[in-house]
Amino acid sequence: MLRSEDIMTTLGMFQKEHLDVRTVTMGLNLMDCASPDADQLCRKIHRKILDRAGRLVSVCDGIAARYGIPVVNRRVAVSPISAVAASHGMGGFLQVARTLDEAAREIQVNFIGGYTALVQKGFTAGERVLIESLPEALSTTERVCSSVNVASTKAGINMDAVLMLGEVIVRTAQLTAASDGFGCAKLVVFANIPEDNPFMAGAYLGYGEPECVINIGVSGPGVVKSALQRLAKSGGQIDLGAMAEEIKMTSFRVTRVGELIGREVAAALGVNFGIVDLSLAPTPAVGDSVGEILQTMGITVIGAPGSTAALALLNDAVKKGGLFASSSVGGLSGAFIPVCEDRALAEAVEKGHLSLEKLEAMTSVCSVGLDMIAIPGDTDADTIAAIIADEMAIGIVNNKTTAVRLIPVPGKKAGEKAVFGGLFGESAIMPIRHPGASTRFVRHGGRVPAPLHSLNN
Amino acid sequence: MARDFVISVMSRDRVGIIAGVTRAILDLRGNVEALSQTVLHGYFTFILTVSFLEEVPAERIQAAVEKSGSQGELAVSVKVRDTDAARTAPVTGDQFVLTIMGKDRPGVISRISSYLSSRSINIVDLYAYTEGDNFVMISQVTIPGNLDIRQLQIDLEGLPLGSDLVIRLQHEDIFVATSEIEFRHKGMRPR
Repeated sequence: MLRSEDIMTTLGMFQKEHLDVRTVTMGLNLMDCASPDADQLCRKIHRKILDRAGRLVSVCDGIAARYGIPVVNRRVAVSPISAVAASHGMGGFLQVARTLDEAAREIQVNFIGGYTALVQKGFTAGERVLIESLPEALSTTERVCSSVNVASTKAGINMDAVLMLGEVIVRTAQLTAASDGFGCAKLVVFANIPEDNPFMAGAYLGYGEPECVINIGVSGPGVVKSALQRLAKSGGQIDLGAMAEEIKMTSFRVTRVGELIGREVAAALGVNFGIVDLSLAPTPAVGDSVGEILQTMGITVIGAPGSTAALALLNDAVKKGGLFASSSVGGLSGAFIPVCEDRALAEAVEKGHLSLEKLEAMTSVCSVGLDMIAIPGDTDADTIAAIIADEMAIGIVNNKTTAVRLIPVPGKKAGEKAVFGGLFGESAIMPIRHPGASTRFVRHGGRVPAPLHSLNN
Repeated sequence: MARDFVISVMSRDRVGIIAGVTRAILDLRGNVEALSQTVLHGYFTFILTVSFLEEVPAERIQAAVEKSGSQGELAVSVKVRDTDAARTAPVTGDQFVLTIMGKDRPGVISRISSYLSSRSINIVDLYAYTEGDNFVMISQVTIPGNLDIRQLQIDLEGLPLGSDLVIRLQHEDIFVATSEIEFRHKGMRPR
């Protein structure tokens, strides 16, 4: 028999602390849709998505009601389109992008990921076309998300790709100027991209994944913050070890929710269950913020010395609790610090407390990178490429996933506000120090060699 | 006469009630098979199933148990036990947790339980308390497999209990998964 205290604790997580299943993401293989005829390719893609994912939303709704836990987003992640459409030119790729968008709209998923290329060591013809098509693909579709892996610990950094993406980001922002450059929010540049990440915009179905799989992203910044506040109120001196324990126990509960919902959805759809991604994913709602957790831990001003250490403790404890709760942990599994989507982080940027450099340091101890950061609209492509290169270097040297999702806001300068709405939130535009001062370095092109794996200091 | 009995005892709480009652049962050569007790607002109650070595009249058990307390202290009830009762659950189906929270007012438990009864939903466990003006009820119920959960949730929300009362009906696995280390989803069990 369940104890009343346990029931009340779990209920409190749902009702007061914003615990939800952030995303149920179906990974779907599209490699068998390949065809030299673009119309036929798109027909096959459309039919397969509707066949396999057509019931995703209604099944998620039924299971969400049965367990009384909200499933906020239902999404689909497909095989890298750079391979699926490899034999096609720009027209074919854009037709596929529109087909994905249309299919996503029909099955009522808010995003579809996998307009993706993996180019860490070089480009195939299809990958080059996909990257070139991104500004138009992202500005003419609503739900298509893209990711490009430009670096890995084993391959180093493909600086030619990084340079191309600097241009792509500038161009995409210009084409979506009316929405403050929102097209760039649907593009993530990665080092060491995971194959099973359920979170957008970086979700795609990796080559090692099964035909069809359900991956889950949970969310629980609010739950962790409340647990730490309760711990503080319990009296006495609370040391950091006690905080880590509290976070672990909370993460255990959150992970269990994700796994239960994931396995139920997979069983109902007759497909594999893949992983639970433990990432703490904030939303712009008050009380659902990773920044607020840091404040609860005693970092009054986010970005002040100690911010990185506090984040490292949080990130590690979340993983430890989650790994004990489930043997199916994967994806990104860390604390996200997406500036626009996290009210406390956005506020710290607005007040000038949190700089790009400090954020970069923080991303070396957490997931996933320089995420949802609005930058001045006149930032040049080479400077954006240099920011990407720095973040990729952190990823390959530390053997972790890092990513960049920057949004140059056309016509706006540092300190002005970019507004994206909904889960994407809003933020002051962050100043970039010394724009244009890295041009000569990034324009060398070529590849940053893979890092050394001994003498690790 | 019979050997298997179910006995319930209620009294104001004090130290030594269980010691006295079980001593009286032992003296009649009875063996306690199961016992559950609870204390509420200073009052104590427990229910126990007992198997006696020989047949005993119920009146004799009742008299012996009452005598283990002071005059008129213990309210005792003794019934011959149907040993099949544990094997035949009143309803079969999945277990759900039904919770109600909000401003306290008379009649909430009565209305909700009569609704559950009308749908053949069996209450397995129920705990309710008030804190100041606030009322909290936590119950575990068995819902017959033929009932539609979403429709039940809609019906429950539509009951005239007061607009500020929040009613939630959730499958118990969500609470087991978050609270118990040993939870294993059915998809994880050996095939």
